[in-house]
Amino acid sequence: MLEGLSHAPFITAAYVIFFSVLGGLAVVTFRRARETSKYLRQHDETVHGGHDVAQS
Amino acid sequence: MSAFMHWFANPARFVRIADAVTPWLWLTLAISLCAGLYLAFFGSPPDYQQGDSVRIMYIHVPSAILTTGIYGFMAAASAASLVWRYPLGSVAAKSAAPVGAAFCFITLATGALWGRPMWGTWWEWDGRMTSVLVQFFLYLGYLAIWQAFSDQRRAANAAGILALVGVINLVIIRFSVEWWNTLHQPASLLRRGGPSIDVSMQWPLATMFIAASAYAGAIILTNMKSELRMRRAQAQLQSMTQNAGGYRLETG
Repeated sequence: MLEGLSHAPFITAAYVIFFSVLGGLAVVTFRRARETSKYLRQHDETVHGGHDVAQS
Repeated sequence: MSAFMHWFANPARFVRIADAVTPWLWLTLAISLCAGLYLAFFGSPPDYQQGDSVRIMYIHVPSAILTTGIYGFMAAASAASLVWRYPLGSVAAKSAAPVGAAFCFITLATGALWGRPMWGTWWEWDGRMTSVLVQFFLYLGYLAIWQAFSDQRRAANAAGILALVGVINLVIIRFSVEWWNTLHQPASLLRRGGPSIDVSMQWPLATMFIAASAYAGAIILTNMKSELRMRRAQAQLQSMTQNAGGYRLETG
């Protein structure tokens, strides 16, 4: 599709950067959220016997 | 307003609201991104001067608006944290910073990719471009401060002051195209008398802006939830350690 456009390499590069940066940030964010949840589960099981500290 | 802020300041209540809002933001993102990309590539004509390279505008302009908007949000949240000790202020500012930095990087990169075919150069030290580059360094500095301090309260204070001082750069970014007559064009969207671009290009621009805003909102809320949960757990661990230390002191 992009081949038919004038300045196609510049447009392609711009959209690739846009989706790469935002996609990368989303992956990092979800990984951190998952690790936090995992850490809290372990923390809760050790300290509170399963009580969710985030909701308390 | 104050009552609302106090009501909203409860972390558990905030997490419940964020949990309810976040899926809707992702849905908004999915719908507006599909519509925005369709309009950007099929629903809008090439520019009579710039040709198809105008399609870079549909990601460049929303990113540029969001990077300044997010910095403004960070400054307001930092002020709330520093002045009124609003508990969610520093959490909100810290959570928004990576998103603002990402949009700032996209603004600079897509600007260079748009500038090369249109202006014949990737970069020029003109007022708008230089002030956006300074904005990017402010974001990096803000993030570095959070990493540099082990004490979260001291980090929040230092980073908050930087966020507030950096507001002056927002003013410079906004008026740079009016103060200095250089390469970057004057404002064509947010200006007196309404937008100067054609309606057929305003629709994809508005739709992509909604998509980018929904993305920013969803990521900031997810970051805030993680940060709040981690702080709560760390506070509990610290409290337990202190209690254990006190017990040893009393019995030792």
